[in-house]
Amino acid sequence: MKEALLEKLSNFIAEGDAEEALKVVEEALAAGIPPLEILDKGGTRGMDIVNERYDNGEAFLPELVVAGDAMTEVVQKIFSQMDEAETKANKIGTVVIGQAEGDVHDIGKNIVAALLAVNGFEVHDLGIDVPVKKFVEKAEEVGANIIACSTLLTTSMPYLEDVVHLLTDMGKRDKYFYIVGGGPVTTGFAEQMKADGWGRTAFDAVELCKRLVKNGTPGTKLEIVDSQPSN
Amino acid sequence: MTNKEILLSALRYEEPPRVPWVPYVGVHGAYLIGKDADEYLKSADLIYQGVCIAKEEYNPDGLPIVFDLQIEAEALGCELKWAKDNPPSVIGHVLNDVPLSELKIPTEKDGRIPVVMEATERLVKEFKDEIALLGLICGPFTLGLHLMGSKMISKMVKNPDEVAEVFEFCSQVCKAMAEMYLKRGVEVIAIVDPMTSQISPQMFDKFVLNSYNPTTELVRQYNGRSLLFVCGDATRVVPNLCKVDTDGFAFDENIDMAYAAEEARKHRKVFCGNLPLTVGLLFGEVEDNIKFAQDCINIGRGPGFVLAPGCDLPYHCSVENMKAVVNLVHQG
Ligand code: B12
Repeated sequence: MKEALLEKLSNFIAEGDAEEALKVVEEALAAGIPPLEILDKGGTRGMDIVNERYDNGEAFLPELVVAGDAMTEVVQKIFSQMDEAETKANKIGTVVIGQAEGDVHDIGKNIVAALLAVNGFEVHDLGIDVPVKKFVEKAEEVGANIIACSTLLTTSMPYLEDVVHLLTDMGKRDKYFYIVGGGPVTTGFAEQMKADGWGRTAFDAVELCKRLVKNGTPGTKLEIVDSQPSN
Repeated sequence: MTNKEILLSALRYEEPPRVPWVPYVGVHGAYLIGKDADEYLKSADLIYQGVCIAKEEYNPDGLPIVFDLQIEAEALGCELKWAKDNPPSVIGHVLNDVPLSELKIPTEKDGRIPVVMEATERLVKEFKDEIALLGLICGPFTLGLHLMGSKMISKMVKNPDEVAEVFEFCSQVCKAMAEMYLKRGVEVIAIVDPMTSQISPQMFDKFVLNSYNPTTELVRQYNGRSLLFVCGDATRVVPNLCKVDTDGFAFDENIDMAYAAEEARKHRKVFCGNLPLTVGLLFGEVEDNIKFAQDCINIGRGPGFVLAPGCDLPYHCSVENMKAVVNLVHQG
């Protein structure tokens, strides 16, 4: 019964059906399944399914976005059931994310932000066309441990590097993990600017942040997560 | 045959005596005359100068008048952010503040449309039958995204009726823009819809496929030719692109030329592409670009093929690289 419920949940999430997914969450909670297990074995599994479909070309951007939306609702529901201490204990880290200066592409960055949020990170999304200074200011303000910068434009890539320079100049390079991603951002470029992490997809970004907060030290080496290394 | 005839012949799905070549000079025209993109895109005079220089430098068979997908959105009330080396970007989505029912189809007086039309009239007069001019218009999907913001994407699944209404409106905007160009003597209309690479073949058929029809029908009434420009990895919708009512489609390096050529030829569709922009024309070496162009030509040669960059040329695009392609086209 438990397995069946969780499977149902993962399927509704993969289909992007928030309404049905929330009903199953209610049922699962009533059946006494621990909230985090629901999240992990039902919710996260649902996102894995849609990720696989996306990689295989069976799902496209709209399907990915609605699955992410459904997952967001499920996470909110589950967190609302946990008391504050429990939620805090389950928070993995705090991320400040934004699209680099000059760049208004936001679809990919929004997915990264949503997936981080549903995976236990507190996410502060600065939106598009974010000035370099803003990243650091916000990180200081909210006590973040990760700064994530996305760009799809070659012409905005220099701003990615400027974030590192600013952190260094302020003597704060060892305070934050700095991760980068998006179309033209290669691992070579990430390495050269001394970022802490690079990921290819939004799912890779989640894995990357988890690894960094678990084992990493800011400003030491580049962590790479790449689910499709052939591309 | 004049350059223009060479291009128009390919657009009629014939094989002209040499490969036709259409460099998509947009803000790169500003670079060619030493101006910033923002100043350029607001001035009929500068656009006129930029396109004239591009014609001298790149010996093209056709040239876009302007490459700026934000013109319609701006005319409809979206807020833009300007840049020195890129076209402007939409930062305020008008449908967040105003309902769709209150939006009116733009007229020749709105936003920068008068600037574009003035440039159009001068260029049509200047070039006569030497080269073809392309009137570029923002496609319904991309315009919808400008008007609505990225929530349009989830609404395609969650609220398809609302999205269908937006498409309906945007396709009328496209048609109105096309008419402004056509009645000034522009013979080729290119509908530019980069967002189409991001959806499934099913969604393409449901929302996008027929949204071009009002424009394509109008183009035919004027005896013009129409193209659809896509951008990004649209491989899975290539069969759908072949069903679109335009005379053909243009695509970037994310689509394999051999595959696109094969599909296009099955349906007697024109296909244009796909010189790589970033790794090729912008940052590549001359030899790389000759090779890229040669590869495209080898695969594409035959009826209905037009050699073109993958998309809008970057502002700083290397003139040397471009000229290497020009030489290949005219001598090779
Ligand atoms: C949709 C689109 C647009 C839309 C954007 C709408 C929006 N709200 O975002 C519109 C039409 C507005 C647009 C405008 C422009 N675009 Co555009 N656009 C695209 C397109 C077709 C798809 C992008 C997309 O949304 N992909 C889907 C998402 C899910 O994928 P993603 O963004 O890559 O994100 C994933 C990963 O990269 C990763 N990721 C992203 N961020 C991060 C961050 C971190 C930290 C990590 C770890 C991972 C990560 O995770 C995401 C999910 O898996 C691409 C083509 C392409 N090949 O990508 C061109 C493309 C990105 N655009 C391009 C260009 C040039 C432009 C314009 C300059 C065009 C013009 N001449 O007007 C303007 C720029 C405006 C500006 N100032 O930003 C070029 C960029 C070339 C370059 N290297 O510089 C591309 C590559 C097209 C091309 N072949 O030329 N565009």
